[in-house]
Amino acid sequence: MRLKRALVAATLAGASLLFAGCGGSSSGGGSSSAANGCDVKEVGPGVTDSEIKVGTTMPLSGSGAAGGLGTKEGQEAYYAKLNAEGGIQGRKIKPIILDDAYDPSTAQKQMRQLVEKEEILVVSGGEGTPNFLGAVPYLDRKKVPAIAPYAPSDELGGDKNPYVFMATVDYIQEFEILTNYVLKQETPKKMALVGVAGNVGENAKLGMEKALKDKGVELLYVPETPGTTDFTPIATQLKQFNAEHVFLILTNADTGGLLQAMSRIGYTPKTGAWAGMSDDSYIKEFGALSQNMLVALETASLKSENAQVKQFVADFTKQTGKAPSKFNQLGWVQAQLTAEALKRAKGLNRGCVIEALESFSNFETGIVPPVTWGKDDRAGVDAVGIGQIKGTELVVLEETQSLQK
Amino acid sequence: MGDLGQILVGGITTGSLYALFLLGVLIVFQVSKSINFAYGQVGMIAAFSAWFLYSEQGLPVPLALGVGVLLAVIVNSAIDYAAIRRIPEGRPGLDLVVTLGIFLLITAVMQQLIDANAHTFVSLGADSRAELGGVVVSLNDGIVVGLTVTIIVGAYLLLNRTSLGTSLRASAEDAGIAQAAGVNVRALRTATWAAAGVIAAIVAVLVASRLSVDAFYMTPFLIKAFIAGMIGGLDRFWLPLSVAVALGVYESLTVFILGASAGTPAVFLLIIVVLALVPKRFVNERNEVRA
Amino acid sequence: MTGATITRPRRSAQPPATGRGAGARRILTRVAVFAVIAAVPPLLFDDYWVFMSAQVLAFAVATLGLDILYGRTGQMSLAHASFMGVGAYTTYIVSSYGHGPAIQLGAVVVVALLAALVVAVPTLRLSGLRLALVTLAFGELLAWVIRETTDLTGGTQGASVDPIVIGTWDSSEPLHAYLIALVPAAIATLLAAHLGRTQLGRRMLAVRDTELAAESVGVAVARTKITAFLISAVYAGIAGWLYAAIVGFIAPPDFDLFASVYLFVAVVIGGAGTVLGAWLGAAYIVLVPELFTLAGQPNLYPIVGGALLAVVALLVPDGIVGLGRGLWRRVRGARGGQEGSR
Repeated sequence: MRLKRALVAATLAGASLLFAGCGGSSSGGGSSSAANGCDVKEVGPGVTDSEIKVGTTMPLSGSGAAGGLGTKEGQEAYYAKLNAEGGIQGRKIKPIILDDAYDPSTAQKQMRQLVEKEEILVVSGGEGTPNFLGAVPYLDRKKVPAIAPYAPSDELGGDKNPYVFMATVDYIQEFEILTNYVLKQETPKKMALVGVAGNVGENAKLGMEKALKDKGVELLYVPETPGTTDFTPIATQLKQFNAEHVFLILTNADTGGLLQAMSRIGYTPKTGAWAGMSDDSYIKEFGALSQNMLVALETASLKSENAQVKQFVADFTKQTGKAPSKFNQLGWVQAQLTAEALKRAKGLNRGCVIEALESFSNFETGIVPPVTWGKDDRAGVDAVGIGQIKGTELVVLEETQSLQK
Repeated sequence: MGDLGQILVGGITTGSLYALFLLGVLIVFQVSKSINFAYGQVGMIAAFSAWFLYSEQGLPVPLALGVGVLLAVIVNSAIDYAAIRRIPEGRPGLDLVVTLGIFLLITAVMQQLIDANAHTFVSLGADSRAELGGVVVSLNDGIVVGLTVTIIVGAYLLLNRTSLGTSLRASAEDAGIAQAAGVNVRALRTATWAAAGVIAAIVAVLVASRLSVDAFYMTPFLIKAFIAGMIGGLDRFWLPLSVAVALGVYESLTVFILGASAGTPAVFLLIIVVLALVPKRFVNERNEVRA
Repeated sequence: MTGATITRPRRSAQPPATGRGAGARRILTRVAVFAVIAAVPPLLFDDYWVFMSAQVLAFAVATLGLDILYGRTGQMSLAHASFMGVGAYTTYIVSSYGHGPAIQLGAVVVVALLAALVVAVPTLRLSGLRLALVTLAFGELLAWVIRETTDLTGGTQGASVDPIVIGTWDSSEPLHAYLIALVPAAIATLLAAHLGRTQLGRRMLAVRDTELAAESVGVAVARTKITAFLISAVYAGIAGWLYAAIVGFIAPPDFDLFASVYLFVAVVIGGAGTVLGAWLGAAYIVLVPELFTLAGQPNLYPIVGGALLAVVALLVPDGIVGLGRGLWRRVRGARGGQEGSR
């Protein structure tokens, strides 16, 4: 009788495994076609006579969802417009965007789903650094090109990961440029940085140190752990140090919380922050606390007079019936760059898309600075603009600031 | 010296919020012997929906806050009624699993219904401040500490000086005997969960006024309240509540003196030291033998 | 989660088999069934599902370990995923110096034991929630260490781990990863199953059911608890080693408080106190999100996963194993009648 019980239990276990596997008898993934070099005749995975499948993962739930949802919307709006205009090489683009909950292992699992089950041709954009990085080793192994993910990190954009084509700067560059901008206007004695503890904060600190090298400016770095319940100690520490400029690279909520604590104890230095604070969702909520804050601009200001920006705002509004946000803009430009690469590709396979991407030279999107990729160049851009929060508006001080100049 | 005072004010205020939140955990634990992992999210519902109602729907702030508190009461009572009571006897750990599910559910639902962004909340006196001997104190600080003391003392008097309190303690001690003695255990239990809902709402609104509101912001407070409760003992009253306030002060002091990255190891060290060195009778749960 | 909560319900220990032959036959049957099920993924599944199956193997090692601590000894840990993290990060560091799987495994076991000693010794005399609290704090501490040692561990943005290579096998290939993981998973299962029949296993049950009584009959409660804790930590460490090899990328969120709570969920949903329950629980946490993908709604799981968890937990309070037992009893009751339905 024990034997029978064991059998029943085992059957249960077996059934659950079988059930899970019942969708899984089709072809064995799309890795075979990702050869190096461009074979014009080859047809890559996800390409049919009427359709090209692309995809990516983003946080659509959980604490990072705000950025992911906005980026997804931007991508979908661009592809809808493109498809309405006839698509690429007579084919409609089908974007598949899966939720990774801002979690690296989920992102990798979903990327496997996209590459092996959905059989996407290329990775179209993405949003969030740690989650995207979780999928990068897999993409590298499968030789799937990833085009313009928003994942600022010193890990990406170099020769370490040749299948990832970046279109935003990392935080080292962003904070170097932001600091340089301040140094051009004045020579402060002391500057401070409050950053998310870990790689993000350390990268920003590295960028500031680069800019401040041999300038005789004292720098205080305060790492902050997300979920801080009381900002008084950090605010007091900053007040004690008494820097003229305090730079911030924190979540929206924590930026607001810290600024509130600083104002509560009467410490109001000049402030500067990473590009996240250029989004309307931040300015609308925390603008009053952030007057005159300098903000790095990874994407063009939506208020810009630039013809391409105006065109984007008009197109997006037509597609979705509402005004775009920073993350909509990011999604749009990710789709735009992906579509451009597909248009340029001599054959619809991964090798030819990579060849096409390497031909980008100062490609103007109107949204991010001109994009250049080459044989050994995956960085794409090296510039950010500088904006300032005034009232409820973001005023552009400088369109783009390159490190080259 | 002024700086240290400032840190103390911040620490005591945050510690008071931990303590008030812990009060809600304690009363629920004592009548139903279960822990509600979704308790922070109950408070979040109150503050986040209040924000939505006044900011996006144009309701007057007091009315929006009232609706928020009401929602928290309904949801907390519903958690007890629909889930906790249905957990069969002798299934330990199941309360944690079920309320984790509810935690995830509430978070997802609020994110779908409102949004995934962080929002500023009404300041509740955070703007009006006075300087006392180099230390800035805001009206909000006063409200937080005042409300905490009032509610905790009120709860203490209710539990220890009224016949209602006697019935409550009796049903916490042994529901079966209390029932036999004519106490309406079910009604008391429902009332306790509802009251805990009110407390969660108050804390969440106060926290939101000091930081900001989104679908996640209460989780750190929940964890800190649990830590204080576990150190002090969930079946006691004054000890865990004092630990909660002390925890707030301790955190602020270590962050200020040793730097922001020292906060986590400092709390770990505190826990190890307290639990390893304090005489056994202080750290033992009273009802150890119950199992 | 009272003192009572921490202690597992009294369930009669496995009644002894009727005879020697019956016991041997039973074991043989189980091994055969295990082998048949284990053969399914490599024979029938494609890469993606083999990868998911390999993950089930890694998580099963973890849940088997947690079950020894929680299901059998009644001690609650909120750091089990953190011990997985200890294993995974040890693997990463050791492999970055170019050492192979044998040295990795040795290092993982040693580091996991040391970490477990640090947590367990000061808390020996504590019980219930207090132990849970210390484990929770340990999880936070691990996250802090990773954050503060970016150069060594890759920091908050995670690190990509070199695959295990044994001969021509390479764990970045799902099939190879599955086969490599199968061996430790099978050994872990056998040991966990065997534990129930040993002196130590019986001491654990005694500690779980009532500490006072166990003490009065001469069971060294503290020593039993710490042994259980060490065993469970080694299981978790090995699970982390497998996880790092299978997935190839590790990051702090894989090993945080929520990850630990999910392992706890797996043990409870599967059915605490049983080897089969640990396996079913691991399958639940890995495969349920996949059901939504199969149904064509991959983005729905995060929204309804919580509700599903609450409902499942309320519907099967004794875990999936308990449900199976209940059904079996009912079937038998209807047929034979002599044992009666519940």
